[in-house]
Amino acid sequence: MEHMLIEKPGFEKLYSLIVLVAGEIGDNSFAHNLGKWPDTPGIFFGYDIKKGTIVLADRGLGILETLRRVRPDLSTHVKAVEVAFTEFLSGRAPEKRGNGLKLVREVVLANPIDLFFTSGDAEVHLKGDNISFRVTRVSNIVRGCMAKINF
Amino acid sequence: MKVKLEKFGTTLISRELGSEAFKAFQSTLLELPPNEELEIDFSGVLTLSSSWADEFLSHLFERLGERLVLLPSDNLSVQATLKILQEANKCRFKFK
Repeated sequence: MEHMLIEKPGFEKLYSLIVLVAGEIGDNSFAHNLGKWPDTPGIFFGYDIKKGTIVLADRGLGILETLRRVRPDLSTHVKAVEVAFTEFLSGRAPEKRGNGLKLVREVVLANPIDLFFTSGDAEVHLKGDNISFRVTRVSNIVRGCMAKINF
Repeated sequence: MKVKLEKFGTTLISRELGSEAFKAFQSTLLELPPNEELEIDFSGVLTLSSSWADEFLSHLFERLGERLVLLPSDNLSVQATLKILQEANKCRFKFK
């Protein structure tokens, strides 16, 4: 995927940020669910470089259950997703770090990359070149996490 | 001493592999004289993520402090990753 992006006209420099965003989200799926998959282990990873779309999905614990291990006060998917994208917090205590999704937010908001991310009943739409960030509650509930990157 | 990061791969994106790289680097780190700087060269790296770098560069910084010197890179993922690591760790890397 990385080499296809490098060869895509106009993406000679941007490719590394798209791979970074996909890599951070995909790595989270494995790192936070290792040995804890509720039913189906592994992740879905699909892309169409011509259409400018990458999709990643897992049926893991999801953001809320993962972060509750270190922030038991979190009660909603919306708040948990907001924390994941804005605070330096790791769901893998005693590890202190947790910067992947913060970097994803910063990169997407500063570049022509769009991200749709959902976990539980929380959804976030991050639009490239737009500084707004808002997590919303929806009626649809997703087990684990699903991300769609467009560029 | 100068280390080319591409020796660990050109797509450096998983925390687990960053941790493995840091472990593998221990024997080389032992050869670094006490007063010598360690220069990190990013040339050849296509993508660097904060997860990989956090396991490698953050630990190196904890160990070496100002003796860790980062060479400039025009790679956007390297620049974004170094910025977020400094914010997360509340530190300032030394750049050449």
